Amino acid sequence: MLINYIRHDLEGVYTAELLRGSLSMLLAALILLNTEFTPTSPYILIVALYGLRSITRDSFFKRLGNICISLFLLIAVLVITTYLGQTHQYLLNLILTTTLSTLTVWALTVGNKFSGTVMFMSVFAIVNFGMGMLDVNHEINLLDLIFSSSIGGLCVLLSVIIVPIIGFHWCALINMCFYHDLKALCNTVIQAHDYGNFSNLTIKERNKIITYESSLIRTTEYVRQSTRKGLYKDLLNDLVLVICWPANHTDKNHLEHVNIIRKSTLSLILELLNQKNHIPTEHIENKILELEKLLNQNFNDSFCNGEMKTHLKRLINKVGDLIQWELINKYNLQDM
Amino acid sequence: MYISTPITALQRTIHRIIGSLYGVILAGGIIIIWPNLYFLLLVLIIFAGLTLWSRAFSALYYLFVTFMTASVIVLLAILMRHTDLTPNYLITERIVFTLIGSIISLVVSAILMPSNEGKDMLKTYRRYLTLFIVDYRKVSDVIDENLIDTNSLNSIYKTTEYYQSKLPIWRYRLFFNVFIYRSLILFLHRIHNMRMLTHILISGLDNLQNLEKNKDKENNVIVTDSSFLALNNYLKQNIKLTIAIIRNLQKLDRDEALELYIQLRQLNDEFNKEIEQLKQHNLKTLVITLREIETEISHLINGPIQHYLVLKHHNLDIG
Repeated sequence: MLINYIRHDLEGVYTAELLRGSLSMLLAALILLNTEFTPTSPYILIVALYGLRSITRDSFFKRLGNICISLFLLIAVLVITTYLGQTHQYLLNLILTTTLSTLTVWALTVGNKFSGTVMFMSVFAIVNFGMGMLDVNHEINLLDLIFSSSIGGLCVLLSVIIVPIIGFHWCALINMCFYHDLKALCNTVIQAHDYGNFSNLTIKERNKIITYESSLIRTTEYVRQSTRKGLYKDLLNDLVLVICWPANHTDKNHLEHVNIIRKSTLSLILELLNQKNHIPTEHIENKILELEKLLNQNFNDSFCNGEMKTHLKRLINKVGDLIQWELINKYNLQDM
Repeated sequence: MYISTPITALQRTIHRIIGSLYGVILAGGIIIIWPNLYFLLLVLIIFAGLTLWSRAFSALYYLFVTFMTASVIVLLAILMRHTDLTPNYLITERIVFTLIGSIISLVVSAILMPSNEGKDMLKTYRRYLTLFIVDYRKVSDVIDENLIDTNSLNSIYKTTEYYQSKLPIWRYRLFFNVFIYRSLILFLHRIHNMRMLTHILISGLDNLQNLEKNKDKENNVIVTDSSFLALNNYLKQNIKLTIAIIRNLQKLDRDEALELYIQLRQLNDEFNKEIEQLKQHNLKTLVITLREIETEISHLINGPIQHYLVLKHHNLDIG
């Protein structure tokens, strides 16, 4: 579950938004509980809930400015439509609502960053018009409404100031995600029936392989340690090629050889990865040597010019380098 | 996931209905079991965060609607504690009005929006074929001894992942045509495979050129000059023909593509024979890879997606 969560939010952007949203609501709830309840008090919660916009890649002050504009527009619509409702000005509200709805569709179509703001403006243009109409005794004072909404807006701004970052870095969890997907990928290929071409696999197997490979490549982009990133990249370059290595249009022998060497290498990778935390270095080296020997001495046929074997040897060596690098890192940390 | 066709409207509406129901059940359960003000405020705080977080799962729009609905109901339950309105009223009203709103949105989108799923599929089809052309052209760069694009693998997976993520949308669009939906997935996988094969081809060519550069040092002829020349000439012709076939597939001109495909097969046969005669085993991987790409192309020409699009667009100007 955690792996799935990180895979969907590798940049930590949505986790940061989760924090900001909860914080904004927490502040609004605390204010509501500690102030006298008036007919406009609900707007503290409403603006705190709907006023928060997703933060894009602009600078912090620009982002703050965008949220201020967004809040101003939302509060303006709340006030105007409440007034239109109280005074029963149907035509004006109809024009405003239609304009805002059209703007919403346009903003969503072009992917405008104010699309969320415009959408809630059009929603509240209808809701608050109704609220204004129901407010027969004019209990909602427009100045109080502005005041309460501004407090809600303040909660939004405070949450943005307290959690100013766009996203979180998952550090070690990203590596956990990488190893999980790498093992899952190896397992999928090992369990698949023999194939001479990637298209010979079933849709389900192909989908799984592409999903894991894409996830591995994407995860690697978020690794910050340059050595680790380099090792991940090198390993993946060979791994993806080996998985889709073609063997059709040859003979039965070659097809069998390609599948055997592919599966035995991936099985060894899986074995090494499963024991990576408590595996002696000599054992890794011996296993790699054994496989290299096997590849060198066997599986020669008229279609084999050793290219796939070169990729496999490079791949298994990269996995060995990675595990050894991990072990060195681990012991260095323990010594410290 | 904005609404561009009646089918996407249907998809969004289904998500909205499912999300509203989940949200109502979630919030309703909480309000009925534990209507304490402080607890409701705590739930509201959590739901507010989850509403923003749920946008991480763009294909699961219902998740966003679930948390949004749940937070609205909890918010209203808190605000209406001093009124005569009961939580039951909020819950039933929400479901009834969501259903009414959904029907209105469906009817309006069915009347006003053009039915252009076919055009959208053609766009996807053409774009994906273009990606292969762009990759396959890189083979000529390697022949001309230019540098290999080391980021190409990243770009292959980025685009494949993008199109994979769009598959749920196609699932709705082709709701009544499971065969074409499955063929579309097959088509996407085929192009992915062809792009990966191109990558293998490029890496093989690069290895060969490195061997060629070092052959004097090692005093060991790995690939003869005549085979290199034959390989370069052959590859240039192959690239030209392959790209022409793909261009014709994009124009939905199946007959022309088929004619060119026959030429490509003949070219591959000739090259294979030449390699056999010259006994150049180092070129065998290249031959196998090119043969594989050729097979994938034949599947594209005869594939159901090409037939489906030709059928759908036979009246349209598709040039």
